[in-house]
Amino acid sequence: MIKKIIAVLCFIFAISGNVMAASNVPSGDVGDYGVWSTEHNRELFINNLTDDITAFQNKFQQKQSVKNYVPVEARVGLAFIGGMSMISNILERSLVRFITIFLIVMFAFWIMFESYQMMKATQKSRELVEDIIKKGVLITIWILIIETGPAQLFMWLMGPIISVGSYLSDLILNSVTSTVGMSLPDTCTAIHNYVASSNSGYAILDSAQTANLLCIPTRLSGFFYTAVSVGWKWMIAGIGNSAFTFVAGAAFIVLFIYNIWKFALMALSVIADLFFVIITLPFTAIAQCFGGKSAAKNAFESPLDAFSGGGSGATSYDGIAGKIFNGLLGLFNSKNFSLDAQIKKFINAMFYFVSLSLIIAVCAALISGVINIDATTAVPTLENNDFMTFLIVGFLFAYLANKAGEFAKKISGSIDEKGFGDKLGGDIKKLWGNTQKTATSVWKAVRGSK
Amino acid sequence: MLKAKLISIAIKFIMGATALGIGIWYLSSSIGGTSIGYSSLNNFLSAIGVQNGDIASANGCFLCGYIEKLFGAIGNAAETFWNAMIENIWILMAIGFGIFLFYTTAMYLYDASKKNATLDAGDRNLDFKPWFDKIWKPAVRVMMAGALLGVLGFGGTTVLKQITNVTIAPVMFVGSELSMAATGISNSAQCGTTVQNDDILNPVLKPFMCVVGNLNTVMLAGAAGGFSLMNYSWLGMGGGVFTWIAGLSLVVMFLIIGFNLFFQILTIIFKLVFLIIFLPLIIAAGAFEGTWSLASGVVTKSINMLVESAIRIVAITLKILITYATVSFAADQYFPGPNDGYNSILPPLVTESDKQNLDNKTLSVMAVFSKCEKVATVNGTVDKNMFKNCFTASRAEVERKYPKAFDFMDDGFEFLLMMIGIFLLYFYVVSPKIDELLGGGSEESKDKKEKFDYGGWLKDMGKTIWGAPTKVAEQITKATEKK
Repeated sequence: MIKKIIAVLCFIFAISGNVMAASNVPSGDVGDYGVWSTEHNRELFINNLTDDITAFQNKFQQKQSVKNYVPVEARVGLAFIGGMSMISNILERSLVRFITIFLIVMFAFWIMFESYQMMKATQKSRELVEDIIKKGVLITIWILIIETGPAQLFMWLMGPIISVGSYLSDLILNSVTSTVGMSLPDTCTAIHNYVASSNSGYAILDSAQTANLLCIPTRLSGFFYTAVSVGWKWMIAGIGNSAFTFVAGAAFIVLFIYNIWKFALMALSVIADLFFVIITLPFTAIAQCFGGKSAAKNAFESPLDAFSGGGSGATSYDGIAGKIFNGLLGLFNSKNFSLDAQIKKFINAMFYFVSLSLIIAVCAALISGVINIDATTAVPTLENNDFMTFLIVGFLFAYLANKAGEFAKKISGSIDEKGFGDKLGGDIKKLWGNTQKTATSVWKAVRGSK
Repeated sequence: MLKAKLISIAIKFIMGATALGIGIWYLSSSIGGTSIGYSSLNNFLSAIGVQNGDIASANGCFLCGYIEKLFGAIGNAAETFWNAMIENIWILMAIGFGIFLFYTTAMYLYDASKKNATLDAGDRNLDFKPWFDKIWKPAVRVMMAGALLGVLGFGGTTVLKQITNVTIAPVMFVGSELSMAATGISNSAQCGTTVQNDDILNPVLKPFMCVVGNLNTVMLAGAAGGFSLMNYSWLGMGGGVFTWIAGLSLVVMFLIIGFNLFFQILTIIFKLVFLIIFLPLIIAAGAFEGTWSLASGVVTKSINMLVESAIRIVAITLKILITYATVSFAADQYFPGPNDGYNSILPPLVTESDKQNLDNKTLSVMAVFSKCEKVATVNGTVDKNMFKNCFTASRAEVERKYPKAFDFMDDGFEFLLMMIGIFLLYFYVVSPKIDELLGGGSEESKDKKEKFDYGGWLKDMGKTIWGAPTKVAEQITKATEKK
C-alpha cells in the first residue's frame, strides 16, 4: 500500500514537472530491487535543487539589494491606500445622499416626538422652538460638511497632523542612525519617487503624505531583505553538506520575513484606522446630530461639546416609538463614531507612528554592529558572516516589534494594537504547535518502524 | 505504525486538496470559456452567465436556486405559524391581561383595606384613581397590540408581505445598493428578476439575491484575475511558475474570503427571517413591557437586531470591496504598470473609472487584449487557442514598436508576494478592523459569541463532516497500534 502511495505521489510530481515549469524531482535511474535512492539520483537531486535555489537567490538579490528598491510591503501599502481611497470615494457618492435624506427624515421624527413630549410633560414651547432651531442648524452644518466631500475636508484638517507625525518619525530615525554612524538604505526616496509616479487619481492623501506613511515601517526593509538573501545563501551552502546550516538559513528567512511583515502590518493597521475614520464620517454626522444625552441644549450652549462630545441629543420621548427612534440612532452613538473618537484616532495613529519609528531607530542602532553598508552602492552586507549574532539580533527585532504597541500606549495613552498583535501571535503559536505535533508524531512513527 | 501515519497524513492531504479542488472547480466552472482578462464589464458578465443585467442570475450565484426553494419552504412555515399564532395569541394576551388586572386589583384592595383599617369610619374611602392610573397604560398597550394583531389577522399574507417589505427588505437593500454602487453592475431593481414564487418572503429574497449575487460577482472577478495569470503561464504567453502560483493564490484568496462571507450572510438572513416569524409574539410582548420582566426589552432587542443586521451587511460588503479594490491596485502596478487605472488581468469593476493618462505603450497592450478577446469570443465565451494565436501575432507587432512591452507577465514572484501580503492584510487588518467598527467578530466580542450563528454552525458542521475520513483513519491507526 505504502509503495502505491509513493508511486502515485512520484507520478504526480513527474507530471507536475511539465506543468510547473521547474520541478526538482529528477528523472533519474532505478537501482537494484527497485531502489530509488541511488547515489546518482541523490547527486542529481542535490544539484538540481542547488541550481534552482541559486538561480532564484541571484535574481532575488539582484532585485532586492539595489539602491532604488521599492519594498513589496510598500507596494501592498500603496495598493491598500489606493483601494481604500477608491472605496471612500464610492461611499461618498452613494452613502452621503442616503445619510442626508436620513438626517432630514429623522429630524422630522425628532420634532414630532419632542412636541408630543412638550405637550405631555414640560409644557415649555419656547424651549422646544429654541431646541428645534439649534438642532436644525447643527443638521444643516453636517449636511453641508458631508455634501461638500467629507474626506477632503477631513484631510485638510488632519493633513498637518500626518505631516508632523511623519516628520517627527523621520527626525528620530535619522538622528539615531547618524549618531551610530549608520546610513539607512534609501528605500524612502525610492518610495517617494514611486508613489509620485503612481498615486491613484482618487487618492485622498497626497503622494508626499502617502510616501511618508509608507516610509516609516519599511525603513529597515533594506536590512531585512539582505538577511533573507543571506538566508538563501546559507540554505544553498547547507544542501548536501550540513543540515544545521540549511536550517539556520531557513530560520533566517522565516524570521526576517516575519519582521518585515510585522512592521508593515502594524503600520497598515493604523493606516486602515485613518481610512475607516474617513469612511464612517457620514455615520459620525448621525452620531453628532442624534446621539448622546436626550436634550438638544448642548448644541450651542457649548459648541465644542456638540461637535466633539457624544452628540447633541436623542429624543426625550420615552414611549415605544421613542425607544425605536433612540434604538435606531443609538447604534451610531458608539465610541467608534463620535467626532471626538475619530479625531482621537487620528492623533493616536500619529503617536503610534512616532513610537514605531523609535523602535525602528533602536533596531537600526542594534543592526549597525552586525551589518556593513557600501558607501557608494548603499547595499548592506553582513559583517564577518557571523550568523549566530545576527540571528539573535533578528529575534530581538521580533521581540521589539511585538512591544511597539505597548510602547505606543505608554506615550500616547490609548493605542489599541492588542487585538492585531494577539491574533497574529495566537495564529503563529497555533501553527507552530500543529507543526510540532505532526513532526513529533511522524518522528515517533519513523523511530517505531525501525 | 509508520505506514498508518503516512496513510493518515495522505488522507488529510487528499481531503484538503479535494476541498480546495472542488472550490476551484466551482469558481472555474462558473466562468464560461477561458479567462484571459476582460476588456469590458459586459464581456465579464456574459462570461459568468448574467442575463438581462440581473446579477442574481449569474452562474456564480452560489446556491441561489436552492436558496430560492429554501426561502419558499420557510415562507410557508412562517405563514402557517402566523395563522396559528394570530388565532391563539388573543387568548394568551387576554389571559395575561386578566392575571395582571386581577393581581393589581387584589393588591390595591388589600393595601387600601389595610390603610382603611387604621382610619376612623368616617375617613375610610376607596379612591379608584390610583387603581385606574396603574391599569390604563397596560390596557391601552394591550388594546394597541390587539388592534395590530387584528390587522395582521385580517390582512393575512398580504400584511405579512408588507411588513417584510418595510422592515427587512430595506436592510438587505442597504448592502445591495452599496455593492451595486461599487461594482457598477446595475441597479438593485434588476436583482432577483428570476424569482417566480409569491411567498411571503419574496420581498426579502430579491434583495438577498442581489447581495449574494454581487458578492459572488466580485469573488468571481477576483478569481477570474487569478485564472488569467494561470492561463498566461499555462499557454506559454508569458510568465513562469511564479506567475502560475500567483494566479492560484489569487483564486484561493477569493475562494476563502468569498465563502467565509457567504456563511456570515446566511446567519444574518436567518436572523431576519426569525424576526418575521416571531413578529406576533414580539408585538404581544410589547403589550406587557414594563409589566412583566420577561417581556421587557423584547421590542428594543428586536429593533437592535434589525439595525445590527443592516450594519453587518454593510460590513460584509465593505470587506470584499476593499479586498477587490486593493488587489485591483496591486495588479494595476504590475500588469502592465504603471498605476494608471488599467490592468490586463482583472475585470474592470471598481477601478474602471480610474483610468488616467494611459501612455501609448499601455494603450497598445490594451488594444491587443481587447482585439484578441473579440477575435476569440465564440458564443459569448473565449476560446483559448484562438486567443493565443491572435495574441502571439499581435504581440510581435506591438513589440517591434515597444520592445519588452509584454514582459510584465514575467513579474509573477513579486505579485505572488503581494498577494500573500494582501491575504495577511485581509485577515489581520481589514476584517478585524471592520468587525470592530461595525460590530461582529472582534477579539473582545468573541466572548459575547452570537447565540444564533447559523452560518458559523453550518461551516463548523461542514468542516467536521469533511474531517470525518481523517478521524476514522486516526481511530483505525490507534486501534492497530494497540494490537
